[in-house]
Amino acid sequence: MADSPEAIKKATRLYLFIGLILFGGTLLTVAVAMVPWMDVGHHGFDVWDMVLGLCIATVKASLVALIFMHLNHEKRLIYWLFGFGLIGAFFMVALIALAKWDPIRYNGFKTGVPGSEKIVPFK
Amino acid sequence: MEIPYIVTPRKDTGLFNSKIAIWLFLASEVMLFGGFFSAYIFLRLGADFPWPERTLPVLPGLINTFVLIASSVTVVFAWASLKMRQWGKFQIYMAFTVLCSMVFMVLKGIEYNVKFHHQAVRLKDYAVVEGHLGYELKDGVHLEHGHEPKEEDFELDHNGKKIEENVINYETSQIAFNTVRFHKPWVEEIIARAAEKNAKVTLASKLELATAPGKTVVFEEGTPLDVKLLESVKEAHLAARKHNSKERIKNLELQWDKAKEANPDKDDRELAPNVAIDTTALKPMPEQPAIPFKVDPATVFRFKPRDVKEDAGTLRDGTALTGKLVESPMVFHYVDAIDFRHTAMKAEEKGVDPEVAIENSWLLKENAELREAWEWHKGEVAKLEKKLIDGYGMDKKTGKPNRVPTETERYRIGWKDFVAKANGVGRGEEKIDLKEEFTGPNYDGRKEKHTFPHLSIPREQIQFASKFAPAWNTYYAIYFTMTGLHGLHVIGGALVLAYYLFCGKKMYLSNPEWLANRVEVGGLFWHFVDLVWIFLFPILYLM
Repeated sequence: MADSPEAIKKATRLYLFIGLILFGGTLLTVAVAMVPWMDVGHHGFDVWDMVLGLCIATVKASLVALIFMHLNHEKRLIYWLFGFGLIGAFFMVALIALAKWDPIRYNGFKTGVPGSEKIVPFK
Repeated sequence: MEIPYIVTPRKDTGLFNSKIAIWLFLASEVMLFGGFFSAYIFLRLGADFPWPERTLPVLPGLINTFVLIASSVTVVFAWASLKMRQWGKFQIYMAFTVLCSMVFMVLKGIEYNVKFHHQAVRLKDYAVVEGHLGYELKDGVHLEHGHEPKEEDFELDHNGKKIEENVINYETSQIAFNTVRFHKPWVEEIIARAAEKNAKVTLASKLELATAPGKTVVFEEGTPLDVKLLESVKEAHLAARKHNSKERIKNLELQWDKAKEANPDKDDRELAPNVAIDTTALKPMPEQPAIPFKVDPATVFRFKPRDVKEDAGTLRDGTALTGKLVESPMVFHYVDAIDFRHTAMKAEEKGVDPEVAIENSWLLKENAELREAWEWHKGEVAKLEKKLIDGYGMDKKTGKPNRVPTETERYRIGWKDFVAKANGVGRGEEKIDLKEEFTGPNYDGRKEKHTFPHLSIPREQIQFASKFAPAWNTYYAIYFTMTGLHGLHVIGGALVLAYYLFCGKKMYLSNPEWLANRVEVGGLFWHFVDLVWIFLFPILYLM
């Protein structure tokens, strides 16, 4: 991290530049959602808009984390802490997988009546 | 006690301690927000209604994004100024940061406020109407376009507040208040309303109660309704219940002892089913679970829809009304959107052509003004379809257009569309004031042109009604949860930064490096708040 007054003075120009990129990124996010000819995929919102929107957001968020939060040159311990946070967040987001593949979900019994696959819930 | 390593780094970690602390906190925050983003994805994937894509006004959200980014830049400038020992510059940058946080919260407040006053209703055929309700005029007259009622023409409740045109009118000849749970404001409203209508609400029969054994209190028939009266009855009723329950327990213990004495060899479990309270020996005090009143002459009382079970004539506090439900429409003074996306979705599920379902909806069948708007809308959709074909052509293999209008464009008439129609221009060519981009349509400014239709919806057509609050649907629930939590972070961060700004001078003079470290830590939190918003803005406003 820039620590000497000279280095910090130099870094402020970078901060301003990153700020401008973030402004530009925000305008781009809105433009790809609102301006018809910039619309990717189908007309209106679709999965490609989502991918593009989230990519721009990720780039912006990374710039904030790397430059403003000094993660581009930090001590190892901070990387460990932040890394664990991200892994935790990943598992938090992955919780939705439980709704899809619930290991303890009970599906009931098949009735065994010939020709019937009807599922009778357990009571 | 001196706190170690808050100015100079610890040798083993190479960091000052507060920095480790804030990163530990931020790691937990990343997980917290991760959980909420997960909830958002879960709700969106599992939604059983058309997810309201791109439904929020973008401009306030966009400005708020700019505001937060700007404040992120200035907070890092403030830290750099401290490092270079420039107190004056630090103050300017920090003041700007705190100002940004206030602008952010004010804009958020405006957004929330607009939503809390915006009514939505889902009809039985899943058509959605959005807009603003009017206020009741005296004697059940509803506010219509073109009327200019004076202040004294409006109906007021017992607090002197105007009543929205969304009340359940119940013509009541008898009321049985629930003694324990009666809700005081409703009793006050009933008293005020009866006085206004010159009706008498009096005790239907003489009540003889007791507050203690032998201590009788009498409430004479014909005593006028009063909160104090209800409270006295409640007191006696609760005293009686307490006394009677004690008596019953005492009696049961006595019976048990007797039974044990008579059958010393029997097991407790064998004995238990045959031991009962001897009710003839009890001297209970009279209980009064409901307090009957008669209303003479029968009077129409008004209740909020959520406070009354309409069919049974029972209020949410257990008070029972005798009489009949009077016509109680929900009256939109201004309809600013109608939305058939849900109707179309339900129709497709049933294998019905959505267009047929929409044509047969109550909204279009019974309301000429909305029918006219729909016809206009169909014309606009056709224009858009043509425009998309002209612009993007047809798919040669399938013979279908490459681009087609979205569900929203097909099935929703929004407030800007109503404005376009009233202005006699095509969709998207309407003139909108800057203020309207924040607060929604300016009804009064456009009233003369009848831009927004008036609509009276009979109660039986309504499936669900709510303001644009978390109750309306899971989109608004997660919107308020996530932006609310984020807003609390903004307030918290701003308070800390403001503390450095206003109370930091002393520390700056004695130990400037320490203050710089503190500002760096506060700044890290502030950047995180910005970082969360960078994701919240696109997913809530643009997707």
